[in-house]
Amino acid sequence: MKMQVAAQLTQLVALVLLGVRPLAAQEPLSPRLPEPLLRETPWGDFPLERLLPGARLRLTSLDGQHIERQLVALGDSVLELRAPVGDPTLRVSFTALRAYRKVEVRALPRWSDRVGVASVAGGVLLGAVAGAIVHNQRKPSSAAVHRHGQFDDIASVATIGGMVGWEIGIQTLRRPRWRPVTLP
Amino acid sequence: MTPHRSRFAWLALVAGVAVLAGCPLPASYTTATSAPVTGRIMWDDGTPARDIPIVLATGWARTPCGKAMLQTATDTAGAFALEGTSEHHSVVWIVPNLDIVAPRFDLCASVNDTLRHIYSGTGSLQATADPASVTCTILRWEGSTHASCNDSYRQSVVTGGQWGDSTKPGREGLYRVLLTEQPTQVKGYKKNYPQDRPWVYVQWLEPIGGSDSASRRFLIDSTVSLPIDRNKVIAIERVQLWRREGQWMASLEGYKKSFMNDFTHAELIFALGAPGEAMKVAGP
Repeated sequence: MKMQVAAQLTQLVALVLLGVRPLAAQEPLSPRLPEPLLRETPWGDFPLERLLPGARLRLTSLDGQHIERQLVALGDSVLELRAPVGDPTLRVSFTALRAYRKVEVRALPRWSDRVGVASVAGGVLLGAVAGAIVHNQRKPSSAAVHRHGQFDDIASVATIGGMVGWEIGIQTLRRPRWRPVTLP
Repeated sequence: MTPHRSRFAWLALVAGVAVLAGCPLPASYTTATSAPVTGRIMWDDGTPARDIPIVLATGWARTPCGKAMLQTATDTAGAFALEGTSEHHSVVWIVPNLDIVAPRFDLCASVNDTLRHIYSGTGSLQATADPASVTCTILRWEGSTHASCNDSYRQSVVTGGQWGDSTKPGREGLYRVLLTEQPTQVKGYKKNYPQDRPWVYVQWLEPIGGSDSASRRFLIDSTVSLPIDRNKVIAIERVQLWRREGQWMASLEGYKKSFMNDFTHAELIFALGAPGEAMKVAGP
């Protein structure tokens, strides 16, 4: 019994340290192609011919039903799409795509430097406010108040706030979303 | 410190360095230094480039393909084939925090007596590597030649779109965008130390026969080198042709220098028109 517990503990430590999962817990290999990182054009649209193999497409029919497919190949006037598991390849012409209410692709939205600057400025502003609050909440008799002035508190927290704001801005704004595809 | 302690400290230091530096194990293994490569080389007008010497090189060298491992030449159809190469090791070195990657190899073609790098591939940490299949195009422009290849992962030569000439009705054809890397003198580096930078050419082609890729021939109407600020843009990894509001665009996606010598994504977009017309509309 003790040996079994010891073996399980050793396995657990190995899993945590090495990040390895036992074979039984591993998922079957995905049949999907690796998804490319697609980006909108500087004009904020996504023309169909910018699609690359592996792109995830969402087609919305006129009755509002969604189907999600992966692009296998982009021909001169036809798309080869693959269902996630088992289904046969679907060939859709550019003309047939127009019959759908919406054709969307997972792509990064257009990046604006203004958004980046705004997220940093917002983070700095929030950090400054947090710094002021931290400073004011300290007891007047505490040694920290004598060591750090209000400006020190505000500057240090605002710096951290700026970095956090930048990271939050990037994580929330710079991630692939469903973007409408412009058909030729 | 007594002599006894001093000796102990030295022993501990030597043992520590040995443990951190690596540990040899007497186990043999084989790595594939290059994959088997089959390919085809065409001139830019679609004719096969025959009798072109091809060199496969592994390892680092000062000049392109300086350490040649295999050599062959293209046949009358412009085709060539090279076997994979491997290397046998009798000792395994376990080095902490060392990520071993598969070895890389280079293909070069001798065009007009100049050895030009045309393709980089990857071997394997196993004994054999997946075979690579490449299709290369040699561009002739202003007295010099430039070559580029497509494989299943990377498209450096993209042909597509459609152009027309309003001054000459009935004259129409395709665009070809060709991405190459050439040694270029750039800012921030010593003179005579050129850096590999992207050079992209656009060709206006008129198909003049053949429907399949082997028999297709082209009349080249015009060739243009796209203006790229190579002090900023350090690499281009994706070339695409696409249409926006009826206008064909060539987009070049890669990396540019950014704040504090960092790198960031960059996309250059050129609007393509009649033969010889390419205008940058977005990008650094």
